[in-house]
Amino acid sequence: MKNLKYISLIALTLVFGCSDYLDVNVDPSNPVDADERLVLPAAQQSIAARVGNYYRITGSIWSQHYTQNNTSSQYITTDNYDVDNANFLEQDFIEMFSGGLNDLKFVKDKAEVAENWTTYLIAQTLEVYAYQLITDLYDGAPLAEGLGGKDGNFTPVWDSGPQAYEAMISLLDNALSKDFDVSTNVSPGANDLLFGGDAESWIRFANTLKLKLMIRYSASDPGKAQSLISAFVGSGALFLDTDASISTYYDQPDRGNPMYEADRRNQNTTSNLKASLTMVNYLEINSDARLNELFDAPTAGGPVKGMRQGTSSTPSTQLDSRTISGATALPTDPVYFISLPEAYFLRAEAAARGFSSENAKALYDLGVLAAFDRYGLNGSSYVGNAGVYKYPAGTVEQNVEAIMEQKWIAHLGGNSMEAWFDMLRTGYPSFSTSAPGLPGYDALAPGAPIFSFPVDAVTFDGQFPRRLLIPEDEVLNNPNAPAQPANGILTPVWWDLN
Amino acid sequence: MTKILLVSCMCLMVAWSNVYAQERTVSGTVKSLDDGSALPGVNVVVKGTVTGTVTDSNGNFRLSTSGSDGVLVFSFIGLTTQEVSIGDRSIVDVQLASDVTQLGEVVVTAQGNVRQTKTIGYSATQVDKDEATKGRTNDLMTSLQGKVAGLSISQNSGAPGASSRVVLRGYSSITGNNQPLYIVDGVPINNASNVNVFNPVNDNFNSTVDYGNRANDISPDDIESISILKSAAATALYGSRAANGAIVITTKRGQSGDRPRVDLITSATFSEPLKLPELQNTFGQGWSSSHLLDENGSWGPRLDGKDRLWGNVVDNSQQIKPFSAQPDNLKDFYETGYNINNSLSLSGGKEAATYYFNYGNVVADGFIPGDADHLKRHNITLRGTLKGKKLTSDVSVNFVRKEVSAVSSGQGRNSPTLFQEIIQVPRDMSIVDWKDYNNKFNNIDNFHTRYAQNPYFSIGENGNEFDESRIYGKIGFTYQFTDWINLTYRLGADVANSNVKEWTAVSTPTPGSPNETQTASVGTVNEASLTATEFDHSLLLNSFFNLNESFTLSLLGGLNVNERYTRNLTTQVTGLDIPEFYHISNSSGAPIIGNVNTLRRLIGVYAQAELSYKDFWFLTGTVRNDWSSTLPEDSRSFIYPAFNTSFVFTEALGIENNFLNFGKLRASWGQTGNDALPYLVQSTLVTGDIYNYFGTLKFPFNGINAFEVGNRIGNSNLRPEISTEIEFGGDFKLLSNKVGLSVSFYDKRTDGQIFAVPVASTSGYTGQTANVGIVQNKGIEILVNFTPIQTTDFRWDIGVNYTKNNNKILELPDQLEGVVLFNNYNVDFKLTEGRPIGDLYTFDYVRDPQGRTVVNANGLPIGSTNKTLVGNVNPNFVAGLNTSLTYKSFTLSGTLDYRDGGKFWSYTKRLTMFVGNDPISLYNDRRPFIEPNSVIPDGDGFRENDIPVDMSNVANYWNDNNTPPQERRHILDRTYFKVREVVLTYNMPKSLVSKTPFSTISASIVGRNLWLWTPAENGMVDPEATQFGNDLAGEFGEFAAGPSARSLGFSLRLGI
Repeated sequence: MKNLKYISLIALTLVFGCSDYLDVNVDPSNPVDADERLVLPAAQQSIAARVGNYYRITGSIWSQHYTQNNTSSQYITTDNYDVDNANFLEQDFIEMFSGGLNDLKFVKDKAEVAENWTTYLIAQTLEVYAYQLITDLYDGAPLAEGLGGKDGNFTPVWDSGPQAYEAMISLLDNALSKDFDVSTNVSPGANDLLFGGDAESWIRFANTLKLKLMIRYSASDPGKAQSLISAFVGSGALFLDTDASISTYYDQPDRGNPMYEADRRNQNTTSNLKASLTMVNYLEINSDARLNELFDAPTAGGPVKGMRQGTSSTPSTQLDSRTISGATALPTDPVYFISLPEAYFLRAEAAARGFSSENAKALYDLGVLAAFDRYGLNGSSYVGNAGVYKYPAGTVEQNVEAIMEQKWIAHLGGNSMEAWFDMLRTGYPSFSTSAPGLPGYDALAPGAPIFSFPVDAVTFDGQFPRRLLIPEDEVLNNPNAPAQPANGILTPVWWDLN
Repeated sequence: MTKILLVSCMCLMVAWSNVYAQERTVSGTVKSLDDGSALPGVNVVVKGTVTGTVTDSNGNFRLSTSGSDGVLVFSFIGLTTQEVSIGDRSIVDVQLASDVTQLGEVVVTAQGNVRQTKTIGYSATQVDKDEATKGRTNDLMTSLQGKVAGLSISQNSGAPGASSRVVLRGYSSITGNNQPLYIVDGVPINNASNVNVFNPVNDNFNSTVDYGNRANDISPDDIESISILKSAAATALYGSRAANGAIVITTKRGQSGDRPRVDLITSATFSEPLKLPELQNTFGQGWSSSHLLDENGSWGPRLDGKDRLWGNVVDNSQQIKPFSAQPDNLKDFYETGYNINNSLSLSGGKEAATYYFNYGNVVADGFIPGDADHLKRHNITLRGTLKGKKLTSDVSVNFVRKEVSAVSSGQGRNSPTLFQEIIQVPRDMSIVDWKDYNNKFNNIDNFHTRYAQNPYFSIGENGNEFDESRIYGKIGFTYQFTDWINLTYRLGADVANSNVKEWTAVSTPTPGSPNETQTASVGTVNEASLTATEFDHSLLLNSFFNLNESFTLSLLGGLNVNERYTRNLTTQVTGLDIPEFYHISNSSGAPIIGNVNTLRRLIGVYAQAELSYKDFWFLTGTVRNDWSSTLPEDSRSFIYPAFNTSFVFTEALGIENNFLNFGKLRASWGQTGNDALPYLVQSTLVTGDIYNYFGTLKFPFNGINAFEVGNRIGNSNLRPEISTEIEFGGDFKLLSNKVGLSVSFYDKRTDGQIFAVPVASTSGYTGQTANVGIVQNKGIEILVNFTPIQTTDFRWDIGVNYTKNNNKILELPDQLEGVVLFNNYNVDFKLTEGRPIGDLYTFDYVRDPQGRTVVNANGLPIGSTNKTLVGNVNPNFVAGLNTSLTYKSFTLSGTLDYRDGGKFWSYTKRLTMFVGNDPISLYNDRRPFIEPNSVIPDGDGFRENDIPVDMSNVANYWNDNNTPPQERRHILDRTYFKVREVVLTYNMPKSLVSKTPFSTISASIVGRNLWLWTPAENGMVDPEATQFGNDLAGEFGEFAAGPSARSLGFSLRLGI
């Protein structure tokens, strides 16, 4: 009996004597914390994978840069305006918040505590950049209450579009007001994939973004746009003098340009995205040298050839897809957050509308030249006196139209969702509710890049999409999500008065 | 002499007392007179006293008696009671004859206790070795399909070595782990499933490779018996891991006092696919009614049998063939698989020692051409017991060496997957003709379509190898202090080391060739090294008392310490520099390295008291407390009790008669607790790996590393989930034991499920692990055995089992209207309060106020913004029928399996509709039509639809991309009826055997899954097949899963 007692006691001591025997629940495979500068590159790349991939593709299809090939079907619903709230753009929404934005919050919170202001500004600028995209796509965003999971808020209330815009401008103002010379401010260096940690470049990016936000008031409240912009530009704010982009992608699986990785490297066919006839026509009419940079030569040979928007249902007996150009994409293509041409065109538009006292023509010319320069081309002959893209000495509307048409081309390969927003906001490039070859198409000004109504579109009466539906994931899991818009994707957002 | 010893241990007290002094010891072995097997659980009592014991699992007993003229009474239900005078012997061996008038069954209960069935207050089913080996399956569990009420077993595919999905009494955990705990000879074993080693998510459609689950490593030929413990009261002693039930396996042992025995079992079976999609044979290759030679679908012209050119022009030549249907092109593609299974055992022993040796092997090649799907397994087993005066030791060592190659299913990732490719093939094409994939018409450049790869290329050039070496076993020591008390220490270990290699070939279409726009496969090599280790220590104190003439009491106290460790190291490279050289050095790309280690520990303390009164009333109480490393420190400890009672009223009331031979009522109530997976308490950062829809963007990027905030937020308030189960029922023998009836009702509620609750991404996270909800499984299990005919030469037995389980989510957190567990192709697998687990939701038709379908500008029905319920995956009921007919030396037995109701999602249906291979696509003879009873929007109202679905949209009408409500048609009825097993056995009569060198000879013809019936709605697949893993997600359905197998073969058993 004594033996038994001993054995029991020994066993119990062995087990419970080591009180930390059970303290093994710290994950050895994932860290609990890290310096914010180690999270920054992931946050930047996450935003880039949104802006540079499906948002870019959707923007480029809806802006009629691209259309869906007729012998494959990947983007057919986008091309046909057959958009529900559970498609791939839902995934982008989820990733924007749980990926990029939440990482940025981590960076921002830690940088604020450490008074590491450059990193703080980077995080704040990109956060506003992402929120602006979301706000314009969904006519609102949970700015005030979003990203609160850490504090137990899993059901954020959304801000309306105008509320979000007010908030975004003041968030940028706050970040820009920090002292970047204090000793606590340590540059993230190469961990900033856009500007290598250069604070001035980020100030320029933040300012340009702020200008973009202000110009959104141009149609809904021109008076407000005028007062905001004149004060802001008049204060001598610095704007981008280079692309805000990640340009270090390289040709290796999972390290290339996001659209290239998704559309070319990892799908079973590389020919989904075709040149839209709308864009090809316009470039051809103007003998624009960028035509051969933006689109591949058809595999069947011959010059660049476009395909009518929304004709993917054409049988291959009637349309040999090998005779149509594909969208040019390289693994080394940069992802543009705000391209240099876009920055110039923003300032040009503000000046042309009289919101600022800058020289609209000079800025327009710089924008066109920068857009050509992206492909190593010299665009000076195009904007010269005899040039096809000469800045018109016309009305404000004519000037804005010229700026928007050039911006539309410059957005191809860049942040093309912005081209679609511009079209909704300004009405340029002009668009037709009919299609080429059908009655009514040629009623608009000849030579203009006229958007055609996609032949296979499922919407009635030539109606274009004007926003996205609230994603299914948000509807299911957040009782505070906004109601779906009354008229679905045809419902305009707050700044869209066209 | 009375002693009381207190072992204080976390408020647990075990007390026992000794009532008799001992003077001499008698020991012996009790065996069956019929077959010489050892009889465990036999009561041995000194007549006229309360001194007694029960025999152990080897039939051995040992007890003390004071007198020299004692008589031992050996009694056992179902056997004739025997009285034996001890005289001056110290060893008393007896053989007991069966008593046909009694029901005799024993069952192995928790912690290896062998109990007479009548003493158990819950339903416990024991299956013997014959059932496990009859069907000649490679794995244990599929051999039990259709044989046990409340036990659902499905095999994921017909590939050799594929995982099996085992669920007891319904899905109670929404976490995705509903597999029971497997206990082999008292020690838990690892049942990890090696599915998707490089992409370990089972609920999406990505390429899936299934190397099987580890419980399938146990060779059925090595099994003595299997107990299926379903209720909480039955499994409580096994602790939290048995919350979903336990499969308690007793392996074969050597028998003492016998000559050495040699047993040889050999079998060969041959397999083919059980069910292939039933496709249309009216229209051939093309799209939108055009005969397009590069299309991978059958939307072309009507098949007219005329000779037509097909495929690409290569070197100015083109192939020609009749434009006629190839109804059997899929069937012809598959070959006959084989499965050879051998087992040789040698066993024997003397009084003090027994030994058992077994070598088994399996060599199988599935029905996919070539050796792309094969299994090779070697099992080597060595067991022995050594008996001393007081100390008994028991060793079991099992070595398993396994090699598996499996064909990936689901959606191709780095290269196309076979099953997805072949179901799209145009109906006029013969697949077997492409076998030579280097032929100029069949190669990468010129294969007739650029939308698919030659299937022979994918199975010939892409491949994988899984090899595993595994040792599991135990060593146990039992010290017999006195005849009524013993202490056992058991150390169990299970160590598995696996290596996995997967590769895809480089295939780059030549620029300028017809298929140049097909994405190049740049080649990949994946290597993984997996280690899984489990150590389990148990200390058990057993005691047995006859309190007086009427009462006996057994007490058991135990301590269990368990540690599980896993280490997975994976390396993947993409873009091979030297084609066909598959090594991780062969790429200039940065390798993707994964390293996941987990460690978890658990300590359990438990006690059990069993009280019996006059052999007809039995009461058992258990309590266990666990401390788990995976829970927050404050809620680490959890305690759960259980009770069960059994009352043999026929014996108590003396009403035994020829109508009612035996009757027992039972009731139980019990709880089990369950801990969490490791590392859910804290939030973590994870390696930067950016979602990019197709593919990801990875770090290090240009020499820069990065981490992201993990999408799952930690929860420091986690507590264990607790299941509470109440069960009652009865067992009866009627009509001179011709009819046996067993009925059980149960109600199990699992509260505080530890579950990754999806949260709105606008919170910054996508999920939080939390204790949420209550899931109930309530049901009835009925088992009827009937022997309609029994003569000297002829016997007919029928067994029917019926299970109806009602699963219901009683509660979900308030903010969750419903939880979408996962989603594929817009079909949601959803949980909703008040509904069973696993509702399938998808888009609905949009209707006007009059209920007419609203169409879009192309005349195609519009999909609703919100998805609606289509059906649920759970069956209404399942039933099995087992029958056997014995005439002299021949026995014919069969198992039928029926599942009624439930739905599943079928990608095979979706894809065949999309490509025009599904017969449904013949609607309206493929001419333009206006959607019946439909409208188009007109201002604020609607007007009658006048937009026809024209020729360019007929294919789109059946494609859910264009017509989202068509997704509803991909959700199919899961009902099936299967002829699971048919076996004809010839047992050579002893008179003939005696003329041979053997002691037993028997031969069988064995058929498995010979016939499958499905409702007309499901012309596609075996509804059991899935590639979504072997748990809850597997119920979702299939994404071009591999077909299941039908097999036929023979087996031979020889004994010496």
